[in-house]
Amino acid sequence: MSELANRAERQKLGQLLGLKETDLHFLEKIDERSIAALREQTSGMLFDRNRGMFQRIAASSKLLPNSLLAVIAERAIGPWLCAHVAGHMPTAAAIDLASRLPVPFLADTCVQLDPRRVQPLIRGIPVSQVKSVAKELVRRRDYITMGRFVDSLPESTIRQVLDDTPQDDALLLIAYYAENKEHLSHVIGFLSEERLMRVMQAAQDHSLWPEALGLMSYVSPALRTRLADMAAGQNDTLLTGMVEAIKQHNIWNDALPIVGFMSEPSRKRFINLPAVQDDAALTGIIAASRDLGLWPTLLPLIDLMDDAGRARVARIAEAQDDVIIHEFIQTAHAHDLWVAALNLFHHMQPERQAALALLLSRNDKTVLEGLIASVSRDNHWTRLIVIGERMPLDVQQQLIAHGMTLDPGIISRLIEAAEEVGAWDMALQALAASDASVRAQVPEVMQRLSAEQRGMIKHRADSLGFSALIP
Amino acid sequence: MTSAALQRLGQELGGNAPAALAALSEQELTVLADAVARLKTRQQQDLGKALEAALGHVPALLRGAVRKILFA
Repeated sequence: MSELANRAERQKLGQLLGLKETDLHFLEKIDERSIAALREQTSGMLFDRNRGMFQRIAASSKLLPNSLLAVIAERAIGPWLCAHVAGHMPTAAAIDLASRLPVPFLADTCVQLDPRRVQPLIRGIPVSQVKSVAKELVRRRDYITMGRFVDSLPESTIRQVLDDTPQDDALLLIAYYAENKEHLSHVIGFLSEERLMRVMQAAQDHSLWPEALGLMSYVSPALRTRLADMAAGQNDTLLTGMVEAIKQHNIWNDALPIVGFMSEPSRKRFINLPAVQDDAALTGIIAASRDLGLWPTLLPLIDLMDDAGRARVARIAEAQDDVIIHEFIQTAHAHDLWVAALNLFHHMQPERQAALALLLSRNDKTVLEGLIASVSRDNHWTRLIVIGERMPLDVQQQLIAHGMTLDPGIISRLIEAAEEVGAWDMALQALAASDASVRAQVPEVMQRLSAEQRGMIKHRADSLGFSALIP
Repeated sequence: MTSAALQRLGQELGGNAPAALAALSEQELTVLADAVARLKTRQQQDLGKALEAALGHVPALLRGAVRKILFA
């Protein structure tokens, strides 16, 4: 459930019911689609319950000239009733009547109008008049009403209205409240790169980052990538402002999926920002991944961090329950993200590594084979050895046996990795399982090590029952 | 079981309220039902007043015909 979409729907329902968004705070726990359904049901009921009377008013209007009707509409009927009768009048007559009414009155009528019910009329109003009414609505900062009209006006008209609306914050808010997201993507697509940049700046200058992020999450995936990359390409002040807004409003559930749509260089820049690299932000990111199952987005992001960042994530992740480790393992398997997962596990405390090694050991053969295939392919033995050492011996043997079928050169790579990290159990297991020609290379390898290292390895080989392996 | 407040909201809307609203408390549902009821009352009052005011602007010669259409 999106916090931003929920808030937008609460605001729209509040406008219809004559309540403040804060009066409807209790709807936070309801999904936004149900709030929208309640609004549409209410609006439909209001249009339908006096339908007969609206039709009779429209019928009687035929007896009077439009010049007189305009006077009656403005002085007696009022915007609310006009909005409900308009759809029952012949379209040409309604367009002519609208042309005779003052702009503020038409703006009042628009507030009451459900444009989906009067599409032919809306589309028949001259662009110049639409622009005048739009100006009036912008002056009133009634972006909810304008958002409704974005859905119903022809794209060419919207383009002209947007060109005629220099306020970038207004443009952002109109788009935020628009309901037909497919249509919205086309509309945003009209805007120049320069205008979109200005809209981003407006998000920063007017504290509208939640709305900007809400907008990004609505539009088509291609446009989302373009906008997200554009945001990530801004200067540090602007990008940091975005992160601070996400933290302040706790909207990682909305923001993280957008980050996932960024190109790799943009994601790298974003995730390594100092504002992201603090406990509050990283905890929010992990919580959002958990809420939305965004582990396939998170793991590659963590891998784009520097070592210090990965260590911070590891510290936060390891403080949580085993479910999170289980999710990392399943995601690494399903999306071939083992290297990223091992890079993260590498930064955990030894006792947590032991727990996750056990957890990993309990997975079925296909998961373990996927792990070894990935490690073998990317020569990532140093990372695996640290975890592998803490697995039960039979699982270590299983991993090595499968590794040897994939890579005949596994022994030398294992030994190199064992030397690098000073962990020899897995290498010794592999050596024990190798043929004589491989084992014959051991003395030469041992010569490269210090006396102390040789003593340690010999001791470990003896305790594992491989005394004959090490001279 | 449908709560009394959810049932009342449905009645005000002239049908069943969205099912997800069953997660709301009686008090919260009452806020919504009251708001919809207020809106309907205001709409009815506005309609009556607007028609009377509008008839006042219709030329006397046509007023009878217009009234006949409106209140047939």
